[in-house]
Amino acid sequence: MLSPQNADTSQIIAAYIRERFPTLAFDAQIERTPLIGSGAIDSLGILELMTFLNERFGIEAVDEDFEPENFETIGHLAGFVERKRS
Amino acid sequence: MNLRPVFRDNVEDALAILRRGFPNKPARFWRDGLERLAAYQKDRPLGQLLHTREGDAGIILTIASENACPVRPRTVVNLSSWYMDPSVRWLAPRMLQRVISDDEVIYTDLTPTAAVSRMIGQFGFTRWNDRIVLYCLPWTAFGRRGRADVQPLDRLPGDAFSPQTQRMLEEHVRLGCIAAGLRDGDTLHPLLFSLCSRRAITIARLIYAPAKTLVASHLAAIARFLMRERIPMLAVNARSGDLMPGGRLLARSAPTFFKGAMDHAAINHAYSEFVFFRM
Repeated sequence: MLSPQNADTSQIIAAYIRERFPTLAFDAQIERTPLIGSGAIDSLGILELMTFLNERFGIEAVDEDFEPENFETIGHLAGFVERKRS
Repeated sequence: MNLRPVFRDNVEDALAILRRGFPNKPARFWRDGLERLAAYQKDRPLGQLLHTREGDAGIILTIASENACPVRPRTVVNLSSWYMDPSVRWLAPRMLQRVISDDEVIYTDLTPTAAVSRMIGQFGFTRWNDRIVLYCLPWTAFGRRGRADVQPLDRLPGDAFSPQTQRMLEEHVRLGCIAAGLRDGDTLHPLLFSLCSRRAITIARLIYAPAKTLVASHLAAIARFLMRERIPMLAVNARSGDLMPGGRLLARSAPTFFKGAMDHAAINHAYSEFVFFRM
């Protein structure tokens, strides 16, 4: 179950992704959409996403953070953000 | 993911992934090229391996040198032979971001794939040239006979160029290139050519000249020099707007890129993959 902070983080990330990546703009299941595997976000998009997370949440991604499991879904990404912030 | 540098002690790891990524090139091509590169780079890494929990999954060679004729000395790093396994291609921008992180360094990519060409501008790279012009030298040599003359390096006085330029020319001769001086009036300009072979025809590729306009003005003299060296063809990287009279397009789409304070009017592919890997 998502914590309140995690749910907020998920919503912020989902809003950014809907705005930045048009193919996901009207995805009703966006929370469950695989971010890398579906091809919805390309490799440059991943880097942009990390830049957004840095600016919005103040987290500095290092090489070890670029693991597929952190990008599986928006929920995984939100969990990653919360772990980095704690 | 993490990056680990390639040195002599792990060069076999680099060879394995280069073989996997570029199966059309024989093992000897990579082994000989890396050996030449290692002998020149000494303590500097030859490239970076992308390592994941499953093992090495990507590589990029980083051929570093000091800029030969700079406004001020700058390190130039030629990015070459970039390969990533399909499963980790989503990490390509991150890898590039990490490899080009030094703002003081000039980076070049002289043989980008179409995918890299589309992406690289977002990392601060500027398109340098976009095509390769090929000259059939027996024809070009009949061009206007001006005052200019081209002589091989070993026929020029040892102090003809600055010590840094002289060293660059001599190092390239040892690496199998042709070095020369173009005398135009009282001025002597350095020229460098790497050699490659296509369909059993030897082609000289111009890899260093202070200005493309200089080359365009003295093509006939350069052609006569290369003919004396028994070279029948010359390839020059150019932009669509460059005036390169008498040349034929060898490759309509062959973009090259640089990032940093490179003199874009010059031809400067010294110490690049063209030299170490004879591409």
